[in-house]
Amino acid sequence: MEYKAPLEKYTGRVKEITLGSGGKSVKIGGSNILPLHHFEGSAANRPVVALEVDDNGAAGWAGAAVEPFRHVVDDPVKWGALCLKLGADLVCLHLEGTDPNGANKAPAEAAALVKRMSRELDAPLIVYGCGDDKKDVEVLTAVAEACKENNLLLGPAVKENYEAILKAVADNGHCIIAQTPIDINLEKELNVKLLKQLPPERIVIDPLSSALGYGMEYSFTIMERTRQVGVVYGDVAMQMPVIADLGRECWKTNQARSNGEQGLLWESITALSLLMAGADILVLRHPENCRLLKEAIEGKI
Amino acid sequence: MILIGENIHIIAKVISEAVRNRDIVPIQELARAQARAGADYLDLNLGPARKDPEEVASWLVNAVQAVSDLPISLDTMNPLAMEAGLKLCRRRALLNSASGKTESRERMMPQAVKYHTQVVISVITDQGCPPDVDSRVESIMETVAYANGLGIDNEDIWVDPIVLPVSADQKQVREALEFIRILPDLLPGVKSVVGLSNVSNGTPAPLRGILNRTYMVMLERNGLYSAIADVLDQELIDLNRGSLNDIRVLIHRVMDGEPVDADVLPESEKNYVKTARVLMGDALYSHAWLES
Repeated sequence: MEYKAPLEKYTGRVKEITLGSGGKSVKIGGSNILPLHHFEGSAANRPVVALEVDDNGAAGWAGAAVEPFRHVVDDPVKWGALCLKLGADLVCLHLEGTDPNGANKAPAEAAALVKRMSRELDAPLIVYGCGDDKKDVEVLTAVAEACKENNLLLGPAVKENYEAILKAVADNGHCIIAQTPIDINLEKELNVKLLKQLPPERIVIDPLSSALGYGMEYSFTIMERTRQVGVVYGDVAMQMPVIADLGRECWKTNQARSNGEQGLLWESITALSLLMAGADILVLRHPENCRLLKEAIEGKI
Repeated sequence: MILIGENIHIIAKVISEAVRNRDIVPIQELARAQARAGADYLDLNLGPARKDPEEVASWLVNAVQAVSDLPISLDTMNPLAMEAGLKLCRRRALLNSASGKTESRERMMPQAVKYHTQVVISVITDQGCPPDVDSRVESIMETVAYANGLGIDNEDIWVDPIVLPVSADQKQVREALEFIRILPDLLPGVKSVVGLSNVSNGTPAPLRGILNRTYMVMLERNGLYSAIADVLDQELIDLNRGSLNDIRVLIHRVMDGEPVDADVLPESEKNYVKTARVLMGDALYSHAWLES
């Protein structure tokens, strides 16, 4: 008799989310299996890799992460185009320049930049505010309104400001990044609140991604549990794809700053780990790791 | 189930101020209110009682006994305060609490013998709180054996499995529940007690009651003898007296893993079903558990 390996059947499925619009959209999520368990069922879409672009000239970035982009860091549009040329599935713009404690760029300036990038780049955009919860409301609202037809992935929406960002996202046809501080219970709470006004097909979970040696195992556990609770236990408030915005965390470590080779390793090991934990979008800084992670996702290594 | 009124607690601001100012009024008001509400014991929680432990304990016990005949559960980790208070208790007191910790074995348990009290013994040891049922069992067997050796009978021991907040460690909620279920087989004759409100510690205040009440029904079904609880919660008292039977039945059905269609139920019953599912670990906890 032929041996047939016993397979688990799960009740839940991660929602499939479409980012971007028209000819340049990307689908994520949609799987009813544990991360990379392709033998268990269908992973409707494989995880995707985004490369990070900064609106502030890569200020404060480690040298080795700037190097591949050094001719374009002052022009986020060209920078984004180079990311795509180097293999990224999509571009993740961090609006660090809007930070009130830094360059403090105006919401309108950020909105104009995002609009230009949406028009000129041949891929969907992820847009993160600077992380100041008050300024982010102004900036992300302006961005959401300026890019109505582009179906951006916008965030972070956090406990302190989710209502305003949710409104901007819902009114203008975008998707939202729900961010919580590495805590499964707070993650679910924010999801429940967002779900009252937005379908799950427009929410992406950001549980925060810590770098190797700086708490990565906590992020790993939360992502792993998110998938288990959503897929294995069928909890509908936990069935959204996960974004791991990890490049910035890795490249700010002392290890990465002091040695470029080490920085590459730091980013790749963190990314591979969080990929196994269940991340659907990996945001990286270095194109070398973009290539490596795409090979891993395609099962070539 | 025996209810021990928890409301005279040093963590409450009104109590800590009353103790500091030796203001008898708020203490006696709460004692009377809890007695009226139906408490079987009054817990007097002094915490560590670092300042004037003996004087504070005596003052508090006298203040309460002046207006209530209920037996006292004297709750402090300070052995000096404990002894001063126990000396004055008119009715047989509950020493709350001893544990497997070395200091507790040496300085608390002997007082239970000396003053012929009943005694709460928790599963805590010098290593902390055991993380699962098996290690709780191991710890309590050893500590109760030690207490028996001092001359304390099982009938006078109230075992406390240590309830932890569902918001902090959801898995622990079920561990304590399971421990209560198997306790009579492990230690025949012992009673059991929990700090019920601890299950909702960390949960937003308006939502704490339903967690406490649901967990009480679940623990009671598994054989719990007593709870230190918010006896001023009228619905908790009603449930403990056996009314609200529909709610009790629903909670039991969730415990048994029976399918319950919460959507067709009235709001109040639906909330109990959702809460029971969270406490059983069937649904992931969040502060918004009643909203999803």
